[in-house]
Amino acid sequence: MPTQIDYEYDHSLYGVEHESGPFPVTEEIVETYTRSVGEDNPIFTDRESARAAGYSNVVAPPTLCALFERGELPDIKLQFKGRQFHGGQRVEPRAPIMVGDTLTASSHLKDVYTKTGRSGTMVHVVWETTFRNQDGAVVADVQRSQVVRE
Amino acid sequence: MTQSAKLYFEDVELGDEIGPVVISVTDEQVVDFCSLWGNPAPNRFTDQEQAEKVGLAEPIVPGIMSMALVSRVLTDWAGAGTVLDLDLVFRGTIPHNQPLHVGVQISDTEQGETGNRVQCDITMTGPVPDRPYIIGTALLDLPSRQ
Repeated sequence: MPTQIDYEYDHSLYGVEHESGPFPVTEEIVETYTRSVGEDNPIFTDRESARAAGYSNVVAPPTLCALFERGELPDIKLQFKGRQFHGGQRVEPRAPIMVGDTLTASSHLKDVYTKTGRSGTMVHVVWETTFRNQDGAVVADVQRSQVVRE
Repeated sequence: MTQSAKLYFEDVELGDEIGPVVISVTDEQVVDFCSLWGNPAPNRFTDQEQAEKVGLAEPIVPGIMSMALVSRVLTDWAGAGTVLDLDLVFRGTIPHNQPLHVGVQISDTEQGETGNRVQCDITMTGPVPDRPYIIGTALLDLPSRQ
């Protein structure tokens, strides 16, 4: 639920789901991802090791789906201008994502709230995204908090 | 969830600490990550001039990349398939090519019908330990030896 806020924005976005995708999880994506973050667990890099551990294919590391969460989301028309930065992220993996899967995302505006500290007032804009695989199974929930600081 | 066991629930206790694990991120790693992320170089994460344009002193590590690094520390320690929840707050900009200290401390354990849950507090710091770049929590589900 939205909390009290001193700044205007488009409240009509609450309760509206924004669909995006499809996002194919390719071998190349998982390989580049694991290389760039130094992930060398063989479950994430080698098909035979993944199969030996009970998976059907190479597994995507738990936070890989957050790559796709950056899709186009509506402008909330926030009447508060300032420097924007990524304030936080939450990923809750629900089921393994594997090479060969195709994900879709459903995002909604979860909350907009303010915090005031020594550095001034900040507005937090929180989007929540649910990822499903090609079978419709939920594989992850992701929350992203974007912050605007005056 | 299928797991590749590295660690068992019976191996951990409340208050146990892992690390700090020291990692660093090279310029090339950030460029690779950004290309995958649909944010190709040059941008504020990869280029000095672009960083300065948005008020940064230098290019920084993207938040979701730093989250991936924390996730790596957790799966290196506990095994793939163990992370149920990773919730991070980005409190400072993270530089390239500098030592990053990732600390994990177990704040709760619970064994029950829902699994073998281990709650952890997480920090990522740079040269000033009491000014973390990242704080957060993780919930893991570890296999049991029983």
